[in-house]
Amino acid sequence: MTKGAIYLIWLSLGIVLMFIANIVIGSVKIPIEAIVTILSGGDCLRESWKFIVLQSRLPQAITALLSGASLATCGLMLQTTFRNPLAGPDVFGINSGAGLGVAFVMLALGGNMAVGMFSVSGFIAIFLAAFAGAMIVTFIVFGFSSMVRNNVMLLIIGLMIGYLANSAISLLNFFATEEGVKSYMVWGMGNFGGVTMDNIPLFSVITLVGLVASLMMIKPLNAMLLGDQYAENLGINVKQTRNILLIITGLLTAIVTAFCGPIAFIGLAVPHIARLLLKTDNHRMLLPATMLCGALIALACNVLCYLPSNGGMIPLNAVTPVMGAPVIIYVILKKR
Amino acid sequence: MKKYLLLFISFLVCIFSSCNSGKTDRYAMGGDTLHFKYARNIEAVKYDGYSVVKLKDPWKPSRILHTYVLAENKALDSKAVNNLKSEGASVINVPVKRSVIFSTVHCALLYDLNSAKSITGVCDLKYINIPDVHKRIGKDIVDCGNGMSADVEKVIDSKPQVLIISPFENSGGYGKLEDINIPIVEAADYMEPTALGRAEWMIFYGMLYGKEKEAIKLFKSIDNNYKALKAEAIKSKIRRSVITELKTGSVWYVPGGKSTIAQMISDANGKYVYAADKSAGSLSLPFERVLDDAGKADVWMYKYDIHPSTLGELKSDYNGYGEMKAFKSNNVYGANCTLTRYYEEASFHPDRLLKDMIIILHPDLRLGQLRYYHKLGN
Repeated sequence: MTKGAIYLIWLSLGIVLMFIANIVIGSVKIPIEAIVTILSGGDCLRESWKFIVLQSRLPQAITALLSGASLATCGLMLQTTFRNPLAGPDVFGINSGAGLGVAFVMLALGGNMAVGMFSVSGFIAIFLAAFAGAMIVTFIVFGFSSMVRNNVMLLIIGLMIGYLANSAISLLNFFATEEGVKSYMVWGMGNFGGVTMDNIPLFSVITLVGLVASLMMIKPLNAMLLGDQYAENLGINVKQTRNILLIITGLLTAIVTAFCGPIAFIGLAVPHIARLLLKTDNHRMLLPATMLCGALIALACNVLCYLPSNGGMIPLNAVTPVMGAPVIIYVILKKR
Repeated sequence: MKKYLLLFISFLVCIFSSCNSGKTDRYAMGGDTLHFKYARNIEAVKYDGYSVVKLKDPWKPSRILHTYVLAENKALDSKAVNNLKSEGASVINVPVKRSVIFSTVHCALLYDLNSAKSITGVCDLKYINIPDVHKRIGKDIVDCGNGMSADVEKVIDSKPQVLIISPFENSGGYGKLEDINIPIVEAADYMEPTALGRAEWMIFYGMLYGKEKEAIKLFKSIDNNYKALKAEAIKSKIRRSVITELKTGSVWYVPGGKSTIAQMISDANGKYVYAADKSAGSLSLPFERVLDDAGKADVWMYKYDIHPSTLGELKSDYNGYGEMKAFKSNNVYGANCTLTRYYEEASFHPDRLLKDMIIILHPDLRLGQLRYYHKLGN
């Protein structure tokens, strides 16, 4: 068995342990026996516990697992395609696009959307707005991608779109109510708890399709490592590959951001952690390892959010940079 | 022995009389201290022609937040007022005829005190739920923009004598507004630990606008009303537990056990779920925590802007809400803050909010119609 395969097995084991930790640890103390009873379909003393385990902790753990894998995969693919170690799902302004959509609904429309006969409010409105915003930005970047050949220039265009979206967000925030600003701020701090059990099938199908699609990109990704010209010599259509990658990352980022809010650093940092572990750039190993690492770290971050013992919680984006930032600093120092 | 005692007493008398003379020297004519029954952060002493009002810093109890001298025309140039001015007090010529008001709460109070004419500028106009103010914009009221960064030119343009602003902790001051030489009245009333304490500040605002008597009368009726309602609530045989507010994103901010809302629920003879908590601010809790603590609460009350106004909307926002006992037993009450005058009235008329709470918690008392809240339908 190769060293890489051993790492993958360890990572999978870690994910199983962390998943269990996510179910067991929360702000309410529920005894292990009760959790086992609930999971095996029995009834327990307190009805609220059943809801907490099955409708709150379980979907949250599944969401953390899939979101972490998705964001990390997006980060790796973008870093390879654009040959930039600091690329991540947020550099193309996809997050900002989602943020703008949410800001528009929360701050300008007061939390409800009405399109003709069709009116939605609350979570669904916010989800649709975030998804629409993220997809619109993805298509704008996609449009520029066919015009601009240079990768760095495309990155800069992505950044500029992000700035434009942020300027509109500041404007909306400035004129919004105190409650509006607060709910927008809370949304911006990220949260894996936003996906209810009813939404889990939809969320899982879309993210799994994106993840499988990215696994099929391993060969072109490896070719891209050699540079555009070498890749073309190997028979890879560079422009087309870049476009497919943009669509996959756009879709994955949009769905995760729409459900969980903008989650910082996982996309940027996890590919580096995977590279440090495996010491290889071969995507055949690196891509699965990045996926598993992403899932593991997202699950760990989610547990950390509930560790404060007073029964409260801390926001997700307060935890992820603590994991992510030191890794980025390490990468920069190493490349000095 | 008797001689020594006499000597000792005369010594004590000496000390105390010298203390006293020192005090009377400073404040030429001894003033009348205004007695505040509930308000903790305000002190007022009245002298001939002027009053000195000291606001205590609610965040650092030993510090004075601001000292004001409310001077009538005749005392404006007196030596005593000038002395206080040189000590750093803000001098305000009362009664105030022109003022910029930064919050809807104080606008509504001025309408209650028949001083609406003295509003010449407002900030955050769109949150002021008073039709008359909107009618007067462009005529005798200037819209001064966003309260957090007011349009200084428009503030100056409305020629106010005072600005009434609610201070925030560590906000870093009021920026340019401090440089235009118009006294800022730091309306820290919302930091009072009790609902009646906050309402009692209306006497201070009454003094500013020359409506002290009206304010005292209004407060007395509110105080009496509040106490009568509280006494009525105790007679009820029903005692129900209460949870308040909604989730914001992943967090449910609930009022702490020492907050005014918690205290009012207890005055309404209700059992607040977080009554044992020690904080005056709010607690940020995840849903599962609230479900575990308050899932069995009998009644659930929350404020909202437009949505969610029905049980169906509530559940489509987050299906966990459906697990709450109050939801299942159809005991959810919402206060629509855009349709009712909740924000305008609740601070200075706590009796009205208390009455709503008692109606909700004690249907057996048959106290009448709800003012702000309504029972959620499907």
